[in-house]
Order: sequence, then C-alpha cells, then structure tokens
Amino acid sequence: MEDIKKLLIYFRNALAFSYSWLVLLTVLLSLAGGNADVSVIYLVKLLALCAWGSLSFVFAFFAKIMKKRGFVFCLTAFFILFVPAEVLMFYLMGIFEGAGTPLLWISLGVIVAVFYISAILIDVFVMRRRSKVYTDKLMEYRSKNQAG
Amino acid sequence: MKVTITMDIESGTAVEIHCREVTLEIERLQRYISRFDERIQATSDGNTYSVQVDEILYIESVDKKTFIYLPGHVLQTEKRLYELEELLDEKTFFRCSKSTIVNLNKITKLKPEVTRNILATLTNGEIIVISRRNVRALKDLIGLDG
Repeated sequence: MEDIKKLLIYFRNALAFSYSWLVLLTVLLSLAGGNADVSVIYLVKLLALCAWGSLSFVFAFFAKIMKKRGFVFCLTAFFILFVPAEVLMFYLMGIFEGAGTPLLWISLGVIVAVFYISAILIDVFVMRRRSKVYTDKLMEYRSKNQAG
Repeated sequence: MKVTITMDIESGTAVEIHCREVTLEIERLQRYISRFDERIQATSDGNTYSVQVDEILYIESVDKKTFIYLPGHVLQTEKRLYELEELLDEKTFFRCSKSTIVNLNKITKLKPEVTRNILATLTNGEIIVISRRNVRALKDLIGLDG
C-alpha cells in the first residue's frame, strides 16, 4: 500500500513537471511562430502524452519489480513503453505539421538512439569498471574485518 | 595473545579476558566473542527457530513486519528493524535502505548505477538495492574515496 502511495506521488510530480514545462514551451513556440493560438484539444493530447510518459517513467524506474534490474533494463523498458506512444501522439498532434517529413522522423529517431546508446556506453565503460573497484574494496574490507 | 582452554565448569561456555588495561583492541575482542554464535529468534509457519546471524543474507521490513532472509527460506521476527540494527555487528550488517539491512559478508558483487543507487548481488543470486542516501555510509565503511 505504501509503495502504491509512493508511486502515485511520483506520478503526480512527473506529470506536473512535464506538463507545465511542455505547455510553457508550446506557448513560447506558438508566440515565436507568430501564432498565439493553442487549442484545447492540443492541450488535452499533450496531457495524455505527459500522463503516459509519466506513468511509463514511474513504472520503469520506481516500481519495486524494476528497481533491482539495473539502469539499462529500466531505460529499455521506458523506451519500449514510451517511444511508440510518443510517435503516435506526435503524429496525432501534428507536431511535424501533419505527417511530417522523413527527415524530421529520422531526427527524432536519432535523438532517441543517441540517448539510448550513450546510456549503454556509460553503463559498459564507466559503471562496470566502477563495479570492479567497489567489489574489490568490499572484499578487502571483509578480509580485514574477519582477520581483525 | 595467549589462548588457553580450561575445562572446569559443569555446563555452557564462559570466556574470560585477562589484560593489563582495557584498550580498543580488547573491547573489539570482547564484542567479537560476545557476538560469536549470536542468534535471533524467528518464526515460520508457527515454528520458532534460533537463527545464527552469520547465516542471514538480509533483513527487510515490509508493512511493519520484519523478515529475515536466509538461503532458501524466509522467517519472521518480532523485533523491529532498528532493534536488530542495534543488536547486530555494525561492521558486518549495513543499513542499505529505509527498510533493509544487508549482511556484507553475503555480497558477491557491487554495481553502482547511473541513478547513484548500488545494486548488491548476494551469494544466492538475489539482488538488493543500496539506496543513494546510504551509499556515502557504505563508501566510508569500506574505505572507498570519492
């Protein structure tokens, strides 16, 4: 029960954070584009995207069953849950002016891929090296502790 | 240090330390001896067991109940987590999150995460999370800088 409460709090915070920033960004972009109108239906779609994103994020990174799986696993789960919804909502919201161009969709794909590959590289080259250092230090501590 | 064994009592075992003065070393020795063969009472399916602390993998508090995890089985104890924390050797049992105490002697691998938590793999293959709030304390304990 306590866990569900905690997850709901995280969900509320993630939704409030993402939605307020995206609404702000939408207004700024509309103003910059010389169009001050933001439709209610657009804001509702944006809310749906943020809600799904927040739900995916909270599940992937904070749910008890996911916590022990490691960062890359959580990130992969998040991407699997969120990216298809993101693509669909981008299409429905007309973010790329209707169906968009292949270049725009490829750009989105490249951004997602770069982020994902960077996370994997950090995990492989930095975290695994640190893991060895931490484990060796623990073993050293243990042998000292047992000898003492 | 001279160690002698004298068989002069009817039952049980008594250890007496003879020294010139009580130093930190002597206090450590006293702690070590008093914790030797230390046991905790715990229950499972209505049966009460006396658990040797060395066997414990980790202790977890779930919904105000305290569970002791051993290789292959889980027992419940009446004691609260903070009581066990005080009772157990602080050099062997580490508070790794709000609800968990882990036996450092049962950890086979530590893996720091990008999220700043550490995943600890235990001898039985189970993984427990050392929360980022407790990572500093762990680093200080095992002597890791940075």
